[in-house]
Amino acid sequence: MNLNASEQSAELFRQIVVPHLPDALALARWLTGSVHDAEDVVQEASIRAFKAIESYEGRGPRPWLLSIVRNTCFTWLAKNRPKEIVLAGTSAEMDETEIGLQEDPRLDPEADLIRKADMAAIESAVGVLPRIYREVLILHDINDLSYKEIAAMLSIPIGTVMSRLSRARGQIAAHIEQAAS
Amino acid sequence: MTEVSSSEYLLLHALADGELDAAAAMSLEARLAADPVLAAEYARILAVKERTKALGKPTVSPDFAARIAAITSDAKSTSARPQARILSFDHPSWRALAASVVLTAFAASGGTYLLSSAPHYDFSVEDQVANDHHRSLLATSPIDVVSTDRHTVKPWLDQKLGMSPPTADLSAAGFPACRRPCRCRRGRRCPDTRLWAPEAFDFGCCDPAQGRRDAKRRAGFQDGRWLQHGRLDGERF
Repeated sequence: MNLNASEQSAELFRQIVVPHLPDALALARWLTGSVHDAEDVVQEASIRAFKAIESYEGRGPRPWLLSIVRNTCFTWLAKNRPKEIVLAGTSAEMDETEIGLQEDPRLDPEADLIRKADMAAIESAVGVLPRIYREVLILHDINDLSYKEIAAMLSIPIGTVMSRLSRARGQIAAHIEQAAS
Repeated sequence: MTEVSSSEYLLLHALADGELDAAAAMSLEARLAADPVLAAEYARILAVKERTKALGKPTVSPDFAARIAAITSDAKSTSARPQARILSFDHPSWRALAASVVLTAFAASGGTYLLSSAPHYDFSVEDQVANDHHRSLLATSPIDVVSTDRHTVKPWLDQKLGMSPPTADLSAAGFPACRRPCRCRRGRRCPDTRLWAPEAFDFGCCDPAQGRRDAKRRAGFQDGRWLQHGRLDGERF
């Protein structure tokens, strides 16, 4: 079957992008904080992905698409919520987080309490995480990317992925414990 | 029962996420079985992970799916192929073509030079043993996977975190230990392959500036000595 370039791009788009739209929506939802905004961001990211579909190298469609979604999210945040993008991940915020973790590094809530926590509490806990922790948590626990894929996608060492993920989970546990007490 | 250190805490997360290689996972699981504090911490990590995963992914609504599908149809309808241009000799494309020919010739001659003068590595038995050992640490399974396709790089060998295996001190049992652990080989870092005799192997430091390796075979065993500044720096059988 002979396909012209436009049809080939459309076919590639259907194979590479469309199956991973739920992953793209999940990442955009947690980076923007809104399902409706997430749809706008993913639509824009899909347009970018379609334009760049020929440059896809075949090294895993999901990390490739999620990288585009992440970049589109930051562009969208810078345009629509400039204060938020400036504040996310500043040194002051990081210091505050570090201090909180140093006081109680493992934030020792009971496993049963965490298991019984309702969905709203978990969503609230994830929503208040610093952006750099939240994106690693979502990429791993929701999007099912491996440590190596996340490290390559964010251009950070694997050790940083591990520490951000553990701190994100520690803060979620602390949030749930606080909410329960 | 011990306090959980920060590095152990990170490893517990890696174990919960299935990111550790087989050797590191087995070692940590053995510790979990023997240490209730560690086991409780692991249970908490699993609980948080389980709850976070339960958040799930949003479903794609039909309306949104239609918006995405429209991207390809819009592009199809608006894409107009540019008409072929008639190129004159003084058109810039001819200059670009000439430049590309020159660049191709340069690259081809450079590549030929590199191929003809590139160093040829002679992979010895020691290299193969070290490579096999390194690969075994990265495998998801502690057993070999039988394969007839030997020249394909297996993806499962590159999915786990490479961790150095714990080294037991057998010197009290009469097994001499080498003084210098293997930290690098031909400029590459590799897991600590320091083991104890008689089944041990160690390749010392490969950096000529730091030491000189003088290895020979004796009765089927590898006999290695490392000299630095004229004195014996390490010995291995």
